[in-house]
Amino acid sequence: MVRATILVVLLLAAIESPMVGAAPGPCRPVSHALGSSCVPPEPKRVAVLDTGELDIALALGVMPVAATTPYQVGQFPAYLTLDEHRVKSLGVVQEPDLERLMRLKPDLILGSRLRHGRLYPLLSAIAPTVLSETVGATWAGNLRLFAQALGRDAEAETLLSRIDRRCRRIRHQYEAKGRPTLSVVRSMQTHIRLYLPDSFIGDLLQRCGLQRPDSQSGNGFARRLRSPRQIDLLDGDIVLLSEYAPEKGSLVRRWQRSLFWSRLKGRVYEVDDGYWMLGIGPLAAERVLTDLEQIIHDYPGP
Amino acid sequence: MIIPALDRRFSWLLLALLLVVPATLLSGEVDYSAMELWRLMSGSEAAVTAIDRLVLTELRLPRLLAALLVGAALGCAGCLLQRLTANPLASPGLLGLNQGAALGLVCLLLSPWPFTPVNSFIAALSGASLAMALVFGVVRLATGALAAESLLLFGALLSTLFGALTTIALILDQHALDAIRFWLAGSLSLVEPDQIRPLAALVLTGLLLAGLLSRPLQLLETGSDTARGLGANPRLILLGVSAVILLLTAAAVAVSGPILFVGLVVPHLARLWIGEQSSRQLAGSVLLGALLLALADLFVFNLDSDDRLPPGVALAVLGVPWFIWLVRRRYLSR
Repeated sequence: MVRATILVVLLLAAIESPMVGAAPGPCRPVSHALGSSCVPPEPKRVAVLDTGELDIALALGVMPVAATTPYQVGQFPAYLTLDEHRVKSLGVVQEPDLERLMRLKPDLILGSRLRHGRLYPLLSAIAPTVLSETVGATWAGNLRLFAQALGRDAEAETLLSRIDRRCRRIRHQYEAKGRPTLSVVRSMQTHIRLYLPDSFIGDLLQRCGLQRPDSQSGNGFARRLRSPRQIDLLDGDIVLLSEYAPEKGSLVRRWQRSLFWSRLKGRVYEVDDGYWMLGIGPLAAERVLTDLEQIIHDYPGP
Repeated sequence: MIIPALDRRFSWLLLALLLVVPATLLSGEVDYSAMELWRLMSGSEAAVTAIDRLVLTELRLPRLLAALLVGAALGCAGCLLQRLTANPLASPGLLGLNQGAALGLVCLLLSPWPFTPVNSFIAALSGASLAMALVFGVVRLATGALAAESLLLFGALLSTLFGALTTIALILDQHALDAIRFWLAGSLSLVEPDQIRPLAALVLTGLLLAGLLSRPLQLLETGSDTARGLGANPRLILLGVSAVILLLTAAAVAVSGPILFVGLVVPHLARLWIGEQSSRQLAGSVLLGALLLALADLFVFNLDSDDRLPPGVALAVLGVPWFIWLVRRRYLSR
């Protein structure tokens, strides 16, 4: 399937024009995870390959022409306001439809080496491609990189300083409540993840100076749990619970029905998986901060 | 007539079953001593923290009970079917029961209903029942009669059809595959406490009926004509025994997924070990099935604390060479 797609893409590329990928006229070099690409001064038709890139582009005021959707969710995150006529779906993040991408004639492609590094030669044959190293915890750096590619560096700095300002306000409110620990729990179909500092949400909480429980303060992206025997690791003063595609089955529902759930002492707040977990960009961060403000405000304190 | 040597084997089997209970409850990551376990079981839990009690009552005990019930049910169903069809290769999966149950689960996953333990139990049970009803219907339609041999042929045939439908659904829908991956391999890791009660009710009923049908089945084994001459109704016996096989297999498979080894090999082990006499073989299949599955589950649970290894696989990997060795030894001693 993938091999066939690759073949067709190469063929089409050869027939249509030998120089699809090169920007006509002048371009500026942007160095990224897999080298350097020469991007048009003002990209008009941007394609994004993951939810983080989509969030970043929209935050910088760019409506892409193509984007992917998360696996199992099958649609763009609901928290983003998209021009449905303009943004075409490329299918799931893991296997973007390259034929469709090529037909859309993008002039810039944004993605990450982690997700699409292996497709880089094909992608850059379609249009100049800028890849971040990874996704998640590096969201702020990714924002700066993609802003550079889009020629909107100043906007990126404005976004980040606005987030930092809101963080300081939340921190103030947070200290007044006696610095409760925040546990970040995401329920998947067959396991439960505890998010560690090296993730988007972990980085955002750290940026705001919010404390995490001991079980979630180590290095790494997330910790996976399968048995409710480990339920105590979920606990914190505040438990922020999200569910990935819950209509397809969510392990936490089974734990909630069991007696193990009664062991949790913290207050459980259900949060939206769309921007807490899938978003990984400045727009998602702002939505998370709005939620956090409300949650910390509601939290009764020690 | 009771032969003393064989009775000793029966007592060994019962003793092993009694020992596997504390062995399972005491093994694994949560360590409490036998004394503490005793205190837990008898109600006073002074020395044990709540998490230990929960692990025991919510995880270990339901899983052990499920292993015993599923093993007993599949062993018994396998024994009944092999005798009913006079075919040593017959196993309950051949009647379309396993693939029917899988298809039932997939239908539940594709439906708007939530995939809860009770719903999945019902879905697998109805899938298996419908599949078997279909097998009987097709046999009647195609051959005009209900012969045990045709049941196996058409059961196997329809199984491939159900299997194909399940496969295509799982290929098109990855999340469905994720949800029933463990079940397909024959695993007890998804057993939930609220499944135990219906499972126990169905399996115990099935075992009781199997005991009652053992004698009529023996009549049938002498041949349809002889049975009829002795005043029995062969058709009725066939349907009755089939219904018991369905009840036992469907209930077991709904919880654990197909564990082929128990249904196929345990009746032979029971015959070799406990005795050829039909009631002994039946009782032996029940006890051996329960023991082997509980042991296999204990084994995999200790091998991987993340609980990813299915006991069905362990049984096949260890059990098949063992069975070959057993048959070889018997052959040599003749």
